[in-house]
Amino acid sequence: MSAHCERVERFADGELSPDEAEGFRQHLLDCSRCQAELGNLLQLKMMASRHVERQPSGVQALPPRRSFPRWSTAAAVGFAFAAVLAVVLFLRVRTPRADPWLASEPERRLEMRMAIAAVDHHRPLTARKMGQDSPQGAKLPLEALTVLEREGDTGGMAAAFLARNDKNLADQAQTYLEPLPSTPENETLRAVALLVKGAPEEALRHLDRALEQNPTLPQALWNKGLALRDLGLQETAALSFHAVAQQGEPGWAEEARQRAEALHAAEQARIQRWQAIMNAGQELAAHGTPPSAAILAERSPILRRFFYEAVRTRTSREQVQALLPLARELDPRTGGGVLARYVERIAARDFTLRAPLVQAYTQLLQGTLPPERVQALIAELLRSPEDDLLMGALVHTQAVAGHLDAFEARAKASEDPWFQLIAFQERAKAQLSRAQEQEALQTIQSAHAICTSTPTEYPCEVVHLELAQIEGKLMRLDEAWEHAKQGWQQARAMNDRDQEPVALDLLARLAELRNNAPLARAYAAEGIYRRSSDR
Amino acid sequence: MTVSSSTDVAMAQRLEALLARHRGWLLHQARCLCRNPADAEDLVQEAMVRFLAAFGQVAQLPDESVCATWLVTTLTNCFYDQLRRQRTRERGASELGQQERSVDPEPPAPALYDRISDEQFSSAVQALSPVARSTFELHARGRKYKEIAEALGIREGTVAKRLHDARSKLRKLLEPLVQLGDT
Repeated sequence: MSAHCERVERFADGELSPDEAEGFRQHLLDCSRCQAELGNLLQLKMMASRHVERQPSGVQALPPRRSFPRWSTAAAVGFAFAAVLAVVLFLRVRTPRADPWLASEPERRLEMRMAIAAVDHHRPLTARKMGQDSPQGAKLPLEALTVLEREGDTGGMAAAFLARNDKNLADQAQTYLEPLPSTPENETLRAVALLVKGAPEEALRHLDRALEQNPTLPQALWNKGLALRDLGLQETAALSFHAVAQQGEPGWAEEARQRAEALHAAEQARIQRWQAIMNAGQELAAHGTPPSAAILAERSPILRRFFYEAVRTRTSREQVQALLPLARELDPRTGGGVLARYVERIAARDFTLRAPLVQAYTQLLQGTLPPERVQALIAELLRSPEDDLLMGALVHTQAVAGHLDAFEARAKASEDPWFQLIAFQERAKAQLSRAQEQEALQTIQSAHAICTSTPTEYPCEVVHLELAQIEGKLMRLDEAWEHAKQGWQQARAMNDRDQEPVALDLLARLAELRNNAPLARAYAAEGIYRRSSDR
Repeated sequence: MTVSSSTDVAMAQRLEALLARHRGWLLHQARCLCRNPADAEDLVQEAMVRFLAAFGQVAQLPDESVCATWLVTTLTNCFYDQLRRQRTRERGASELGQQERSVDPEPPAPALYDRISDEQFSSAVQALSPVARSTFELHARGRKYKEIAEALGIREGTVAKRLHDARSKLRKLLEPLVQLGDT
């Protein structure tokens, strides 16, 4: 490395003096490191330039629009007329029989917000669950609706349907919203209808359209927080509510702050639970210490991974047998008593022969086995009956591909779907490295078939993601999307912080390939948030 | 027959439009790299010829970002070739044997699936601090260090430092994505 190497960035940016630049060019031909670095820098610059081109130019220059009610066609006639109309409607709201938006009720039924001033004053959210409408509230104020219709307030009519938080009425609201122009307020209403119907992905598309036109519209930001939350993207959902809180609207700011905090806290709690399980797992693997009752109560499938390691690294029959109660505890998760049988099988081994191999295997795990002895250990295990140690060693040294047949034979003999699934995954990996995507797809599909008949949570989650990965490569985007979502949901359900980011990145790419940029942004943002806050 | 020739025409138009879109940016980069404007023109010209050789016959043009990545890789390789030719010329005919060396085989275009998506890149930029981000985006719009320094009221050295830090952070955030495709 020479002094020139430090100038690569200034060179790429054309910021060196002519002499320095010439010196660098001479150096460049002889420095492969700088050649690679210059290539990377130029790619980064290209992506940066594409990034700024995509930015809506002058978004920042636009004055923030007031979220003034848009009385649809009336607004076009002129401000004066719209104002008069607003007063008229306001007066009507005051009369108790004409409250089309339930604005006079002390609690609001709708979690979402609508960008219509007469509707959008803060009231606490009712504890009543959706669909449990009191019969009297379910009645639509037909009289008030007729007035709105006569005045051409289509958006207001849609809001009246939506305010009741009822899936069936949301359809009707959508019919009213359909012909309306794409204003931030109308797009926000469209998103509310979709959220009421439980379609956060589509809702996001409309919210992004609203926010493109008005990046600070609080109702759109609020609803975006809800959509992200419904997709399981808690941290970015919290950020969205945080942005609402900063606008300081009476009532809303406080609720937004509470929501942001709750979402963030829930995600932090998940991280802590996962940490606790990983720590307990490592204790189990290293010392055979059974996890505490509190950890077992989490029923985390991740523990099973450590359980295998615990059995493999015990050096006596008694130590292995001591793991039997734990095996029985973990077994019901997959059924069939696989782990108990495994413990009994290993306890029956001749430990005078097994113990030395166990010791070498433990060294391998701890990274203290001299590298030159690794191959000898694998060769010895291949000749021995200690199938479990062999499989463990091959996985650890990433050498399964070189001994695929041996691995598959032992996985099959183990009658444990866990190892059969790993065998399939490894075969698919080998096929992918030879660019045999079709063959890899078939292999992973066989693994997937096992997952549908014998659910084995942890490896099946990975199988879903790998299936999605390969289908994505083959541009089978719909299938890939479904499997990636299943993988994500399983990872969330298991609180598997290792696989969650993999799923997020995959979903972001697939959403983009499916031409859904808002959704792609949402998944990408959650993934990036995690990476930037992990450090 | 007529069908295929009309698709050919449409394809040629798409190629032309694509190269026209990227030419300005490529030329700007080439001017940063090359000794003089004439070399820079040559460089861009050669990259485009290679691009046409690779994609002129394909039935369907890949995604825009794949094309852009490919163009940048090719521009970089052409630049190294240009440097080698210049050195050969300047050191005389003694290394003439190298002059007729065949053109390097082009690297395969990165698979559509294995790249960083536009959305992921933009999300990563959002994760930068506001100060880093504004410097980075000003530079991405083609401003020189000096202009950025004046616009933000800071020293040129600070611009270079901020830009370097922003790039390091972006690469840290994006690296796992580049590797993801290989698993």
